[in-house]
Amino acid sequence: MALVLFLEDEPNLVRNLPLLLKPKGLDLVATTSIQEAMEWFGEHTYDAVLLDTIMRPTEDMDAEALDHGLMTGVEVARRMKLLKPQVPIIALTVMHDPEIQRRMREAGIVDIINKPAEPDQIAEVVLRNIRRG
Amino acid sequence: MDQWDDSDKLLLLQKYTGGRIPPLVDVNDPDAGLIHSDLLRIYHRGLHSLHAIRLGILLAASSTSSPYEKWFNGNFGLNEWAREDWPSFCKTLRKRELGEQACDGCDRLRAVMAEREGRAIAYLCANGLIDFAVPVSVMGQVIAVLLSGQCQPQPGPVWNPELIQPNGCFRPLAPGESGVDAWGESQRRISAIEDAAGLESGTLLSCLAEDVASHHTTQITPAGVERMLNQIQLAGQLLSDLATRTFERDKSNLVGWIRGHIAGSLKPLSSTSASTEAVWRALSVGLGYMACYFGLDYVVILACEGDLKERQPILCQFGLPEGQRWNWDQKPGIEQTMSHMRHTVRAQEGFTPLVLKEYAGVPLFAWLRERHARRGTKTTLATSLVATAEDNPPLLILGRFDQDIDPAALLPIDRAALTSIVGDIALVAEVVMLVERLRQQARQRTRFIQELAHELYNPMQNIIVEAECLDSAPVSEIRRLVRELVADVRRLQRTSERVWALENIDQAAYAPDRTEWVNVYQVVMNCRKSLAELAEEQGIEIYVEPELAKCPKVRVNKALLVLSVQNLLDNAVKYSRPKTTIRIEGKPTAEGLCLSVGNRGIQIQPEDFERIFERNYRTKEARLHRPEGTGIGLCFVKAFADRYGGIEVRSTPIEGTRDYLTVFKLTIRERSY
Repeated sequence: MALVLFLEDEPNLVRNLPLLLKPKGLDLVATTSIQEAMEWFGEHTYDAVLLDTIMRPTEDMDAEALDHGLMTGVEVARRMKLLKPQVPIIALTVMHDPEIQRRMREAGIVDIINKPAEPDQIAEVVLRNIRRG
Repeated sequence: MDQWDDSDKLLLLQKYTGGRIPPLVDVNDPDAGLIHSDLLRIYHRGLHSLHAIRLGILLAASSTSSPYEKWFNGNFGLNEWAREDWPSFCKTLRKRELGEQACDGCDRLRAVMAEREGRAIAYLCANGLIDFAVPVSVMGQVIAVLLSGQCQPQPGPVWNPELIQPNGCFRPLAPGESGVDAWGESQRRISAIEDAAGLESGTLLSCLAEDVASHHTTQITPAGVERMLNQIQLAGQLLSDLATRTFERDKSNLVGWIRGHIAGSLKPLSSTSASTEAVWRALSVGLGYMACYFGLDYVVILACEGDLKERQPILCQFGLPEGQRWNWDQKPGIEQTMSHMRHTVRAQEGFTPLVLKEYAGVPLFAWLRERHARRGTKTTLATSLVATAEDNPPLLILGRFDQDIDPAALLPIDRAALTSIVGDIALVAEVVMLVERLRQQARQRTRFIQELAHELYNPMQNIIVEAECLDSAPVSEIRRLVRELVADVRRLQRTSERVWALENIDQAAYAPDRTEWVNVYQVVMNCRKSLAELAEEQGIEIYVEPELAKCPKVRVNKALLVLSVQNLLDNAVKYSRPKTTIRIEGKPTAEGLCLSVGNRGIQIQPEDFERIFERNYRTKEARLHRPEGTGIGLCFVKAFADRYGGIEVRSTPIEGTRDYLTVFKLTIRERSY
């Protein structure tokens, strides 16, 4: 069973996606809080991170630079990459724009799943990146 | 200067800089005058050959406006080769310093007279010969005087009496008028200058006799003088015409070149990715050429009034120090000062002189005032750059530190050039502002699409996951999952409705004539019910004052009212602090009612009070609080308010907290469609 940190500001998804992905071999540890996610990431070992990109920035982030929240997940990914570069980070995002996705990859996001996605697809992408790592 | 790549135009610009009229001919540089020195030499030879006219040219000194000083400070052009043809009388006399001084002094005095008369004149020179002078002018300004003559007057009382006065001129005798013997006066003057110049008595008279005998000098009659005057007049006129044509042609070329540069500054906009900064940079080069042409020290374009909030409202400039920043937003009262300035400038056509002292509160003007004061001037000139009916056009400010400029005092050709160039600058500014507005709208649209994607794709993702969860969920979880699924479907539905409504705001469902009597209390209660779940999630209570139920019905478009109330409540819920209360009140008015929605939560800044009703606009605070969100909700409220009354918003801090009390007041007046 692979352990995956899941950061997402949609409470319903945080509640329900872990239920669907557990039978597929992914144990999602989910939170809507960036602060909590960073703490857990630092303290525990995860096989991968799955995160949303549009979230309210934390107070220590430059909101303007993050386009007032549209690129918050990218900043979170960047910070996580600095801490533990070996952990693959996958974005689950509504931002389909190629230019924005390029910026995500530059920040260290290894793969991008466009919402809305089937749970099977989400599982497949996450597992593939874990195996690759 | 490094950017000027048209070197020939640069030379031309330097020749005509500051509105000056170049000299008729430049003795040192053949290309620096209006006429090439070789051409003048041919002209001289031709006149001598055809009409036995010898030419000397006295050039005006351009730096003075006094006719007296102009000629006394002017230089004699080309006299060296002209001297070759002079009679021995003149050559002998000018060999003596006093003789040269006397001749020059007389020539200059007669130049003053010729300029005053505006035509060819003949006179008995200080040294006894009859000379001629004719002005050469360009655009009404005399820039040179042609001098000729060296003729001996015929003996006999056939000359008008003024001729022998010290500053007198030739004219034909009037019928019955008694003439004087100018020849006798001539002899007297020759003897006097021989004596003064230290020449042996009779030297000059001998020279003169020899000159007459060899036809180097003519003994001339009054009729002869009249004929010579006509020829000299024509000579002066031809030269004036030639100089004027050259002047006009060169000026026209220069102005065309400057205008081409100004229009060409738009070239960077042909690339969609180019910033408008590149246009302003290119335009500043054109402003530099303009400054050189009119002899200005600075030319500045100030941004529109709305941009005063930016720290750097100077769009483009020439003459200000590089890298100078002006902190405009830190000065109290600066907006009022600028508003007064714009009002003053807009009230007049053309240029308005501004007394710098009155605007010294504005940083740029304080800087200009100091520099003007050092050179003794007090005003600058300003005009609105209006190409179309723009409420807040940029201002063009220009001036010279050492001289108060009066456009009315410019030559007509320069006045026309100034008008054309300012018009071109206005057009460039207009285009740039339009492009910036369009790009801003495009950026907003892109942002809207991104945020819309969030509002559509997230509920879709939730629905997919919830539906699949239902397939295998235990019974205890089914109710929760169904509830969440329904909530997400409704969320999707609301977003879709808003987008559809936005695109069809002027269509049938919301048409102004589709009105009916509406119970506002009922609309509010229905909207409250639809948002109950969302509000409950955050512990927010929506309280409706009972007085609203007693308010009368209003005749409005119901669909638009529902949309407006829904969006006001939706916003209140989204931006309220959790566990607070949203209060809805209604008060009847003479014409209808006033509905207010108040909540405790994030601030709306005063400068956003009007902008929040713009399509796709979201405040900084709203984006921070909820990065998702499309910014389209309040535009429905505005659409309703524009038709049926008005909308006001206030956001005041709540003491002891970081929260703000935000109240939207919607005034509804009945319509009797």
